[in-house]
Amino acid sequence: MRRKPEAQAVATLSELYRTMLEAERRAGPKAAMDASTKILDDLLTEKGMSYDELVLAI
Amino acid sequence: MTNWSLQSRLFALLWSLSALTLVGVLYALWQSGTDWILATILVLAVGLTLFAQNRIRAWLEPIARLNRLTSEVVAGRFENRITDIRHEDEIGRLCWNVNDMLDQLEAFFRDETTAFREHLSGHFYRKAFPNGLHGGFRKGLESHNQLLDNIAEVQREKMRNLLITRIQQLNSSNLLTNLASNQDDLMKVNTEMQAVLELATATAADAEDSQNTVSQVVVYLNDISQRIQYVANGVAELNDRSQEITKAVQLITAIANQTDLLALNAAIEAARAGEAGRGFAVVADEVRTLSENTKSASESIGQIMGSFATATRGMQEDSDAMREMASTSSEVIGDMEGRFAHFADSARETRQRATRARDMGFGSLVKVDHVIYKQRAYMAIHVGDEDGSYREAVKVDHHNCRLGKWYESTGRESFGATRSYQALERPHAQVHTQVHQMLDQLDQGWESDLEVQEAILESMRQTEAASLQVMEMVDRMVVEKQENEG
Repeated sequence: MRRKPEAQAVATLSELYRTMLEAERRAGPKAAMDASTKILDDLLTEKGMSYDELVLAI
Repeated sequence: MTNWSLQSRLFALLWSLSALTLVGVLYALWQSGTDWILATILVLAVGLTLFAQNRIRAWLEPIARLNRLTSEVVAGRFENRITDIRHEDEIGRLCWNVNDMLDQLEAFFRDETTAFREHLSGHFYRKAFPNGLHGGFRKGLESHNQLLDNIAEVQREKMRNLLITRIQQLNSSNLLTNLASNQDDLMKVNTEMQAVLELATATAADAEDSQNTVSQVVVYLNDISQRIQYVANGVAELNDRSQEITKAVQLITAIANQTDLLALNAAIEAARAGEAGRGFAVVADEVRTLSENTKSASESIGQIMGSFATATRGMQEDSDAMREMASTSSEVIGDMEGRFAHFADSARETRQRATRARDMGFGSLVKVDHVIYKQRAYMAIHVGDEDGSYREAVKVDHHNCRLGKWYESTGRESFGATRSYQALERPHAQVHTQVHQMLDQLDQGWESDLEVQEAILESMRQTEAASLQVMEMVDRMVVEKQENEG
């Protein structure tokens, strides 16, 4: 069953995804994954949440 | 026929109709001879029957699939769906509805199971999603979420109790050790103070005795001074008497002179012996007076000599008494000297013991400060987020807590020279590091995570271990200082 996502959640995650892509582009192909993963990890550490928790909270 | 499938029943009806048509057409042919139209109708009827059989099979085919699908549902499996629905007839709509129903059922059960499982693992943020579900399904999941909230609450309470029980156990056992250490200190301080009291009492008694002795010495000295006065009086009397002797001696001298003169007169008178007897009688009279004077002078001298003897005897007695008093006083003063030396010893010992008691009191106080710091750390765990004051209180570093401040000031002055003083800093810093680590861990979801609980407990164990060393160093510091001061 597919559910319709909330517009606000889509906006928040799009923004996060954009910064991650930006970081990947700047870091170059080799360090791309590490750079974007770091952004996500930092966000999770700052919020004190697991990935699941974050996704459910948005 | 009741056991036949729907399809077979329809086919039987169809073929019955075809057979009836065949019988009708054959009868007509037999009556009226060859008729091509009738023959064509017969062929068309058979063909139609075949076509209808084919269609019915196609139309009813989804029912067989629905049948299999619902058997799966009966067995509790919701994953399968009817696919390839070709007709929008009643059966087609039935298929769509069954699929939709299965969507709801599957989402309901899957979400319910997942949310429940996650709650048991402590992931209380994972609730079921009622949105997208309809009616009873939606209400069911909403009720389920309420149930999950309760489970989360109970689980949190359980975890909280678990942590608090374990922390409490750790705390109690260590607190007892800490208190026993303080009790030990206080007992030692008590013993020292008891000794100080005994010394002070003995010193007071000595002082009282000494006061009596001093009074005695004063009496002796007064006596001696009185005796000296007597002696002085005696000397003055002797002086007076000696003047009298001088006078007596002068008298005797005069007598001697007179006797000389009389002897001369007697000689002259004897020469004029003519008128013998008369003049001689006068001489004899003068000589008699002379002898009387001489007698009185010698008597006077004798008296004076007697009083001399009395005065000398008195002076002798006084000087004897003074010698005796002087020697007694000297003994008493010697005794007092011994007492004063004893006083000095007592005073020194009193000072030493009092210093020791003060140092132990200091140590004990410092330990109590430290124990209070730890108790605040435990309270920070107990009260959780309800009261942040404990958390704030234990956030200070090891330079700014009470022990830390004491360490940098009074502690350094009193104990800076001991090795234990230097060794105290490391475990003390460790206590603060571990407590701060525990504060960080408190924010990592210990209500749901046993590993975090274990980490918190481990931090507090480390805190206690380091704290035990702090206590030991404080004790040793006091002992070391006493040894250094000997």
